[in-house]
Amino acid sequence: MNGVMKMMCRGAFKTCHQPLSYSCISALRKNVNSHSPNCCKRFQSSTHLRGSSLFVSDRDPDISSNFQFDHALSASLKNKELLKDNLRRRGLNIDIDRLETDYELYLKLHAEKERMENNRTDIAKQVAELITKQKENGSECQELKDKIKALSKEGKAIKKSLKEHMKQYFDVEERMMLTALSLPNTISDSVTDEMEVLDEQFQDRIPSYPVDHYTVLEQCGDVKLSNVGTKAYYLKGRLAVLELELIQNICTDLRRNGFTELLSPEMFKTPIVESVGFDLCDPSSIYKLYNKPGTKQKTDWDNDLLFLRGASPLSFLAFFSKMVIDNTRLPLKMFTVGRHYTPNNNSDKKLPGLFNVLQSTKVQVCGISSSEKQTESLMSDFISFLTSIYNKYELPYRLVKLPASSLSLMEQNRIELQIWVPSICQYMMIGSVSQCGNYSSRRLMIQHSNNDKLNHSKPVYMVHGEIIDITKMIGLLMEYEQTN
Amino acid sequence: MRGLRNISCVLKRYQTITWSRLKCEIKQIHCGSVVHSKSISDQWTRPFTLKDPVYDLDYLLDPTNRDCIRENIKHRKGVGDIDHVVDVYKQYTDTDDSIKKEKSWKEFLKSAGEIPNKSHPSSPIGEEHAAKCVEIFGSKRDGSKDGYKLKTALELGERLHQLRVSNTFLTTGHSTYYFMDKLAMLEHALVNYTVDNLLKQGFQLISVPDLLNPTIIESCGFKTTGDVAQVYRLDPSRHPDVCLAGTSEMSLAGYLMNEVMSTKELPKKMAAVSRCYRAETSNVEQSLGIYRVHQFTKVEMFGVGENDTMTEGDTLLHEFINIEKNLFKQLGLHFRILDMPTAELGAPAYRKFDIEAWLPATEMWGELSSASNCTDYQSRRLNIQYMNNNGERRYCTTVNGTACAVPRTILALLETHQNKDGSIEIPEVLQKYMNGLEKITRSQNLPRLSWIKSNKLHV
Repeated sequence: MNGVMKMMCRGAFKTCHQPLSYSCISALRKNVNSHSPNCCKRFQSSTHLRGSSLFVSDRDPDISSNFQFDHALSASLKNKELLKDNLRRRGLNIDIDRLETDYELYLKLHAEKERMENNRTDIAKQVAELITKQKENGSECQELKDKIKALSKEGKAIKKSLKEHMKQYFDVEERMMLTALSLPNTISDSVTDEMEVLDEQFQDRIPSYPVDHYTVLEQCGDVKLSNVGTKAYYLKGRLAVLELELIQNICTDLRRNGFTELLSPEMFKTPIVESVGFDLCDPSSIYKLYNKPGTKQKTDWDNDLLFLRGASPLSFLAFFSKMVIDNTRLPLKMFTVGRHYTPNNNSDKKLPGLFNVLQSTKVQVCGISSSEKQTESLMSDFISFLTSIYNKYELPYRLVKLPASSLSLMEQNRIELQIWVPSICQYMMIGSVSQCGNYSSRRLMIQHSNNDKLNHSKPVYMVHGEIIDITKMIGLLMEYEQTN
Repeated sequence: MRGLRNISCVLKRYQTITWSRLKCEIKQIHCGSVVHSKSISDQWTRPFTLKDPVYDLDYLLDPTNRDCIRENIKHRKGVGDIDHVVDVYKQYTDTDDSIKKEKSWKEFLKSAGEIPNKSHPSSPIGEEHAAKCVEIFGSKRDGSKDGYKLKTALELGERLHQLRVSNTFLTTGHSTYYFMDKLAMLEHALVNYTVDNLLKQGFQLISVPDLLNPTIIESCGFKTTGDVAQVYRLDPSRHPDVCLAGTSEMSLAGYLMNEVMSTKELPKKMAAVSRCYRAETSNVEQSLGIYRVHQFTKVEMFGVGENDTMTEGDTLLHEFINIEKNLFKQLGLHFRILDMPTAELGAPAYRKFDIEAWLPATEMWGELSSASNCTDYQSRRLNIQYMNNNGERRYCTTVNGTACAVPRTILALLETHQNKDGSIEIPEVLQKYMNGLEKITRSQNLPRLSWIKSNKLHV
């Protein structure tokens, strides 16, 4: 096996607490490209686990995570049936009984670890006191000597037991933590298993005859589709100006409504990407950048890898990571605008042309609060802002609440604003608002407090929203003008 | 343009649009003919093809030019070997064996591609210090006259709670930054101010892709592989082999790839607002905050002209420099224009002018913009041609210039227009783009944030 493969297997042993099956090891060996997603998926399916930048065991003192995951398992496991129901509704398969067993075992092992460490500390203290006494006496007292010897022997025995104990401790802790990281958010009470239409507007504007998207682009004359990159496109002349105008218009509205702007970098490190539930092994989920020559890349979940996303929830999560926020100023409403990139995932082949491009400009919002009540208020604030924007365009839209099966791992609830697309005769999402609770904040140490102190701080609650995808909107406006 | 007029009406109804901008005459004729619907969607399925570059063999292989070319290479970064080019070409013409012929042709293309562009006879010869200052505008702000020590842009931005460069390593990496509240608004204001100016000068605005085939980037004169590469690339084991554009010059050149224009369309002036991604860093400049960063917004000018007399590029170049001068003058900056020496031209530029603004707190000249005439260097590699009045196809001249590099401009504005209390005066030309705001003061819109140093929440 080459060096990288060896490291992969070593990594695999660390994260997998059952011995790796022979078929898994040989699968790893056969796979020459150690970073191929197939390798990760095969590994994942055989063990249900994979590493994470959000939790790294203390087993190896040379590597660690920069974040501490607040697993909140005590609360999650309190109502096991509710959690199992959550997984069933989302179509996820995680062994909760096993997790519960591991958690209970972990608590016992942790208590035992503490007891042994305290014992050891105690013995060390006693030995130190005896040695001091011996020095004070100035003579060699046999009794003292014997006591010291006996205590030292006891101390060594505890050290040995502790070392053995820690092997099991680390294994159980890691399995428990990685499983806990894979758990989804809770589901909001109001979410059902069917899509619910909350509102419909301008239905009389639905065109009576279809339109061909590509004909619209051609007749406009201001769009050039190109193969300089995958699904590349250029907007020329007045469409390019329209793009800037739409951005300016929405930003002005957002500022008027009390949102504060944040302009963030477009590239993010692994912990940020993992914190929203992206599957790092899936190339269609997010773009990964190539490491510069000479950089050692060990696994898919290294702290130092960079991913390209752009304007998204990541923009806010990166900014607030590892921060204690003064909660007297919450709730907070922020927005960002910028490029957004998504890989080709062929999931929606029906969407033509500008509706299915890999790069667009988006306006995203984020609300941060310190309580569930503030969250509810943020949700309704964001939804009314969203509808106020789209009411201006008088295009047929509907507001829908998605079913549990459509929620991402991070979401408790998701409301989408969908506009009717003449060329495909169906609704397409143009904006959304998601209630995300403390899913990401527990992973990234985003805390709030009234005194800057970490001790009494708690994880924040977040609401994320997408106000507009400018490219999609331009495509829609062009189609609708054609129908006029 | 029926559709577009109606879109404008949709927005106008709600008085959300600045009419002056949409009414602007766009004088440029659209590039190329309208693509019929049958083929517009084919553009995405058609494989990317670019012919081999067509180098100026008459010039390169002419023995009377040998010394001059050698001298030029020496004065630039020393990359390129004209003797090797000539040898390989001879091997190519001498052999009849098709396999050897193909191999020598590939080697010829590679080595000829390394020969830098010619240098303008007026370009100073030498390293960076040989740059010639051709004009200066404004005067240095003297902190001692103000009666207080001027603060750097970093200090000002952080005190205003509107710039963050600290504690970014764990989340977005070194040399990354955030603009908040009014500084974020200032970024948009600078972009809109610049675009409005360019539209009035007859530029056509184009929204461009950022993920490009590496060939396009290399054809513009930028390396995409090796240690010196400043270009980000996607992981080829997971994604198509594409790079992130370091400047929209690359995307705009790609827009014109394989086009044959008529002289009626030239000179064509295009502008783009794009996010630029650059992998290079400098330890020295890290302390300057937002001077050298990995991601930034830029408004770029790209011009295409004829190349019959070899002087058309000069005309475009000076037009671009005048536009830059005007933009920076109106921002109230003290700046100088430098005629760049041969070692600073890079491979593609025939002539280059940089504009540097004086940063009064940091006490250094900081590059604000750069304008280059690349003659036919890029067009020969990207097959960008025009039909001249004699019916001959010729390679175009391409010219590019930075109209606004946002972080550097903000850096210069902060230091130049600071007040004693740390607030920043907004230049009058920008105020209408900032909703009438005259001054940037400390933001009250963000809560206090305390960084958690430890890796543990609870010890």
